[in-house]
Amino acid sequence: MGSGGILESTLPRLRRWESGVAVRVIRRPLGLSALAVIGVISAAAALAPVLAPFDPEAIHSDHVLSPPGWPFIMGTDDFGRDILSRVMYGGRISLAVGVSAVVLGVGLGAFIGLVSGYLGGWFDLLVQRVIDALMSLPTLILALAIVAMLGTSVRNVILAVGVALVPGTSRVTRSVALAVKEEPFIEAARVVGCTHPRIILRHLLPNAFGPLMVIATASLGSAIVAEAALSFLGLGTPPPTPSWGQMMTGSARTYIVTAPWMAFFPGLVLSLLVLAINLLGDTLRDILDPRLRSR
Amino acid sequence: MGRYIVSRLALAVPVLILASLMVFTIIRLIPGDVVTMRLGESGETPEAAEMRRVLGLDRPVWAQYFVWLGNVGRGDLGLSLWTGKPVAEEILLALPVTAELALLAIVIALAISVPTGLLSAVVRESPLDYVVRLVSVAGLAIPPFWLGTMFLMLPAVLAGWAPSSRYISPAEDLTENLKQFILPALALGYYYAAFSMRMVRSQTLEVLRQDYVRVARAKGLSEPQVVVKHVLKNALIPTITLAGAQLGVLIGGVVVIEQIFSLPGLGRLTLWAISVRDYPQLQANVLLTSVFVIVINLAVDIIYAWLDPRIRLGS
Repeated sequence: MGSGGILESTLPRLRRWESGVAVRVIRRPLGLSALAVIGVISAAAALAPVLAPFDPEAIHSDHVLSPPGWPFIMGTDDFGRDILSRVMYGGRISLAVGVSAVVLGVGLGAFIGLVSGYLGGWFDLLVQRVIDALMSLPTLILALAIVAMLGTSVRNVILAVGVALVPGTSRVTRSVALAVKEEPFIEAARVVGCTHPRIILRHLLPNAFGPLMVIATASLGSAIVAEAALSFLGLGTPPPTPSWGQMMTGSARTYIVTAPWMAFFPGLVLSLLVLAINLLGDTLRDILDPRLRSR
Repeated sequence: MGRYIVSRLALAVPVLILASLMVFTIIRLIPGDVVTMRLGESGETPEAAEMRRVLGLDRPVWAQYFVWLGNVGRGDLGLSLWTGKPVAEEILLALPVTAELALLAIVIALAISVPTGLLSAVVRESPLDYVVRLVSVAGLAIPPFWLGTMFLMLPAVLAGWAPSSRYISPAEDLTENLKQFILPALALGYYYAAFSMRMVRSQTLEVLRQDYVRVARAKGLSEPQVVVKHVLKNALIPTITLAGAQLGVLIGGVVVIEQIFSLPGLGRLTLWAISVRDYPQLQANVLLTSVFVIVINLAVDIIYAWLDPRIRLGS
């Protein structure tokens, strides 16, 4: 163990640990199928410019509102745009916003939770009251207020959804920090002269990693739904960029009886993706926290 | 017990004040105020300045906060900047709609989740258990706004019938009112049921492991007797308190569902207040939501402590 580079010496360990978890996820049928669904939808979104059959914004004026069939597999909307291509491009927004919001929200929440739980005392008391206050605002209301404040753009939606994830994450990480900091090895680390940042990064963080992975996965599902809900309410990703939430509102609701496929397919793909993410989260929880297994 | 309640109350007050401060600041930071919304983007005319002065918007934000907090303390939530009517009046008009929707959704959710969750735990690891768990996981993945949109289409496609787009109060016509509320309540209730189904299941499994259940079996009670007499009640109390703690989920759903089904409830009122920058209305609505959540959480904590002495006596 060298004198510097706390992260450098932690990372290889985490990587070994991660590959062990990955193997165990794949060995479970539920974990494998969840990963497969996530993989297919992510690949379709990531490779949309190559794979999409049409330009998502191209208007096929002689195929307005055509039902699912050939060549428009999921049908077309009221402008005659191909729904499948729009769903594929919309997935890019949903996934990008979801992943970025989770990195931001879970990262920030974990930092606050670890520091607050480790330091304890008046600092912890103060921070937790702020978290309480944030938690008293329902996620969607908080995200709505933030987007209304900052204006609608992809960046602001990420910020709004990310901030809404902070309170929950920090609560869970704080409880891990509270439990772990009483362990003898933390005392030992303190005795040999480790600094507080070193103890938090090197000893608390790896112990919180399991719960954090579970929260991050569960949060990804809710972040994707939250982005869609914001877009659905007209406060998410601004048009003409297609996003799933946006595709389910506006003219999709006007034509809900004559052209139900307009709202049906984006919602179906969204639900499938979130279902797979939640199942992956359950599998991870079973592996990482055996106490909760088969409850 | 008394000391525990007092200490929980003492913690709730600063949280409430912090929440009100957050609500106030976030809302003031929304660009453009009600004056620009009402007079258009015509720039800083003397007319606009006069309107700001009358509405008190020309004063510093902290001064506005203390004036507002003082008024709220005296029970005055202020006047809507848009309609000029007291915001409390608008809330009282919208509250019954939201209350009916939420109540129906909770009833539907409990009617689905309690029997299925219980059954699923009792026949653990059977095909039935897997089906229940799959339905519950799927329920969490289906966003209520999509389910709501699909529900809006179904009666039209299947029966050529559409729910009235005008709100009908239960006093006016109870049958029509229920017809109007059943689909939104189902869309919302299904989502909430998915949450509580998992809780009922895990709580039941927890109870089934207890010694008193083993004793009940040992003294010769049949399995249905054990479940009904010993398991059900013990599993339900923590479930209902946990379900209370999840009400925030329901509130988020209310906003989108009211929007889809054009129900004039608090969710729609809040969205409308955001779009026209009606600060007093928006503040009152969000404050009300946050008070509601804090009170529910407080009640949940107290019920829990009352049920489980380890919580109020520990640390």
